[in-house]
Amino acid sequence: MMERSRILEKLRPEVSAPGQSGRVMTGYYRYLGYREHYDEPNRIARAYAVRSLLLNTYKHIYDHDMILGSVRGFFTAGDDINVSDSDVESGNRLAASFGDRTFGTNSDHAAPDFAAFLRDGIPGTIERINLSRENAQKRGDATGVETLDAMNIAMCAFRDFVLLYAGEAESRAEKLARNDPEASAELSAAAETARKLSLTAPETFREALQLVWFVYIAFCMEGRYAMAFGRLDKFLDPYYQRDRAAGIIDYDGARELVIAALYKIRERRVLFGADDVSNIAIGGLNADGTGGVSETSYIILDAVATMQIPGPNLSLRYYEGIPDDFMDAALRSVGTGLGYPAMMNDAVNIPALLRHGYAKEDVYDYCMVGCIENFIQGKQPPWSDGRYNTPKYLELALNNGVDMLTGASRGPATGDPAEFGSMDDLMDALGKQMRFGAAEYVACFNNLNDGINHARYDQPFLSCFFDDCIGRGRDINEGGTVYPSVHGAAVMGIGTMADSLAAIEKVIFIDRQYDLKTLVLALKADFEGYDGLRAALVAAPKYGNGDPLPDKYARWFVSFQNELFSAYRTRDGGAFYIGIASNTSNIPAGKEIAATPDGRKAGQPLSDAASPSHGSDRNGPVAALRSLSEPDYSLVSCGSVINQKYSPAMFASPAGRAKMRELIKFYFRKGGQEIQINSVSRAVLEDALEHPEAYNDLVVRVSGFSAYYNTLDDAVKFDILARTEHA
Amino acid sequence: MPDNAEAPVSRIQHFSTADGPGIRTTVFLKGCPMRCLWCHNPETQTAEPVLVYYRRACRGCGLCAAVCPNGAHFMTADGLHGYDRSKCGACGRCVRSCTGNALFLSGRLMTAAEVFEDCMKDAELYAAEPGGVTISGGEPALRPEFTAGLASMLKDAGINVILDTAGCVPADNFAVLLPYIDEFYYDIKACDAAELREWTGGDIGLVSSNLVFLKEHGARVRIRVPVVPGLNGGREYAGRLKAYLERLGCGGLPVDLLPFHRFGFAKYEGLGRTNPCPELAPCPQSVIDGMKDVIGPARTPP
Repeated sequence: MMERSRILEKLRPEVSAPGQSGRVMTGYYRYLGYREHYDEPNRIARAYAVRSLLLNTYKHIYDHDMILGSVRGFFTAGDDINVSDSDVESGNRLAASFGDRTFGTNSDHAAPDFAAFLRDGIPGTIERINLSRENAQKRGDATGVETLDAMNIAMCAFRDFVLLYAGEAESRAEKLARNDPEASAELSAAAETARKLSLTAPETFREALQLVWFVYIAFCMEGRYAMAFGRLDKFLDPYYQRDRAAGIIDYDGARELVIAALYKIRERRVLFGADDVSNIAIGGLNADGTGGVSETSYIILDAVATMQIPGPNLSLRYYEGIPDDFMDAALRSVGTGLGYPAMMNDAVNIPALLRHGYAKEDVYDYCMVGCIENFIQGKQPPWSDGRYNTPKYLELALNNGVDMLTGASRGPATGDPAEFGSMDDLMDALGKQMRFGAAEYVACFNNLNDGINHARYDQPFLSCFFDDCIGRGRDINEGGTVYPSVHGAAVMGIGTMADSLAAIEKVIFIDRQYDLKTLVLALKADFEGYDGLRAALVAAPKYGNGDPLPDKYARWFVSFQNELFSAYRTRDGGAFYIGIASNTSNIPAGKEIAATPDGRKAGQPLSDAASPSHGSDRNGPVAALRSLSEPDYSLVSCGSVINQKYSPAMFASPAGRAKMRELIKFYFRKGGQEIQINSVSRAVLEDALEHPEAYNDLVVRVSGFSAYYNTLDDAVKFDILARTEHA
Repeated sequence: MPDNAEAPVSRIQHFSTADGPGIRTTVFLKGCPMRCLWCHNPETQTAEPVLVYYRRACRGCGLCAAVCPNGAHFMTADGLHGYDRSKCGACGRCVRSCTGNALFLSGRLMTAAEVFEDCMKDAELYAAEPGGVTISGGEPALRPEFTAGLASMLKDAGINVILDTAGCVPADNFAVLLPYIDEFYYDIKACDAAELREWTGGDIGLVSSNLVFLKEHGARVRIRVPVVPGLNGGREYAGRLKAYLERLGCGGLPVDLLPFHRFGFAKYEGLGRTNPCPELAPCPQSVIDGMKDVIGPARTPP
């Protein structure tokens, strides 16, 4: 585990070298495809644009490539392209007029059906396309014929893309033959692998991995982002087992190959200044009840832990009976400070997906796309999601539908809160506001999504990888997939809401210390002059401490949000899931919201994702996890995020990791959906020393106990820093 | 054993990972006959409730001043928080309303049954990664009724109980505790009467005789030595420690060497007290390793 990697040492400086001229050429090359085919049907023109893109973009080869394929082709290779800047600009504009690929247009955040593609390879897939085209012709399905023609153009272009890489690798190998015979031989082998893939389906681990990587790079060249690998361990392991039995590969060799591919995810950071989030799901149950942890799972985990880059977003699908040894390896990786893998609970996610009527074998092959979003691999169109700012509706319920910050009417008139005689009256008004909010949210999303006319937004290349676009002769955007598109409404602020409702019940309706009218005045005044009321609100029980009062509202929150969004359908009849994972949107969302009854001041961040409000879980990690597993997360089909932080020392010994493992198992037995553990790195601790105000929620395990970092003396902070250096 | 015996509890630390094997809960009781120069938990020394105020975590929201019945918390004209400990009644209202986690009340009277109930919340975890409850302090052996009451309830529930003691209490107390404690973590801070008195105010006669008492009554005992460089650190001291234990017939007991850290320093500030020994330096691993050599590897855990 995390042994030295030769390929990593060689690739690191090459991959980290800055980009080329900086001129992005992808739009221009697509334009070259369009302009030859303006008079043809839109989908054919789009296929030619993909073809032009795949053929013309520069094929970058690293001297130490074992697995070919680089996104450096986004740019010109140097000065050898004789195109003026204004040509590139007008080409980009024209290509963009055909529609740009974005998250909102269901274009990325998807996991292709790699298992089927590896089975058939490029030639087998072309054969399938042609066969289906014949059938479409026979039944007089003109749309099918045209769609399959487009897929054929795209898939043949992909084959040529692979061959062009082989050619480039061969010529680089020749150049290196004299000075670096070892690298030259390695490149020749990579070129040979690529040539073979243009002719047959992959037969070895290396060939399978190379084919997966070429597909990933081609998607990147198309402008897609957050394309997931899915259950990479599951579909690569048979190749690994076969090769190992034949004596042509071992653990270390396979790990080197995985690193040689995945390390290049870092290219995006180097070239574009932002990381990709390419999700890989390892472990997990199979539909036949067997556990999915294989030797390849260990290899992938080890590779990711060794690389120490944020790009591959590694998810571990936890199940009852997963080997302790595998969890130990996972926690060693987490303890490096990398934080991967995030842990996902099959016992929650599988029922969460089965509820939507997907076939059992498809559900058991679920994976994540992007951060944590559950996805039926290769059988549904790309994901989309949006943010739903729930505490805004509490503000409206407390102000008869009027925004407290702007005075504008934002929701229905649900009555003067001074007239509310009970918690039920308030919950009734809140329900009405939220129902209105959800309807508005769905209308906005569906209008946007409907605005993209699918007949003019074909994705011929992507369609080749999704079941059963080829068989049906339909584009992925036109009903080609087995399942319709889904949308995830990321409901924000569960902690803020649970705490606010608990505080209202406690202070207003149980203790009767203040009345609702006063509360509303205080909220509008951002608590200026209402310190006593605010103190009482802050003192009320908070979510994340195992206290039944706020926990009750967290349970309500999840089931009510699910009920709200379950009523809606996407344009092709798919479900609206809810998700409780908002990345960092809780910060801008908080800026739009007045003071809240949990004592939060106007403009302050909302609680993050599914976590309690910052710093309000004061009874340690067990009590927090007990609260966090209270809601029924099988209603959260999209997924959720819980962040917890521990010091690296916790992960340094097998005994420490065993304790963490049992804590995670406990949480998952209780019905937790997800947990990601941050082992706080030295860099963070140093930054927290300089900027304590940004780290109010930073908990460090000091020795046998946890403490808020900011409560520690500088001497102690330095002590911890000194220890962390060696951890 | 009565389960209504009360004791002032400083805090109950769940998912405690350094006070014995497995996943544990550590119960810190208040009140201690010793005053160790290096005390890690000075808030537990007195039995009376006391407010700990971490100035640097204060956000200046002023809510403590709004709820304080005695005016101990106040806001200055320029909007800064002030605290007058002499007016503080340690009622804890301010703690619940603090938005910065800057306040902590050490010392809530709880019955053994209440503490037991709180510990049992994590029973599933003690079983998963075999652990249990550690009763610490302060000096938990100062309160034999409460401690034995809690330990007997835990024992009945099948939970492993460790008692963390420095042994400086009347011998009768250990006779009461003996039947209910699975293992004693027994602090040896010095091996000479004058040193122990100077560094901790403790009585080595009691410490020695109680250790022998436990040993002779078949108790499971683990020696714990807080290693403080400049005082009891170093190979030479390790040799004396070894000889001391052998003199008492306790040479075969396992010994844990615990490196001194300065985590208690902030608490002195939080308590508004003067740190009696601010010059103490953290104990480097090399000192521990050297002492392990002398004491012998077989007796020290990894």
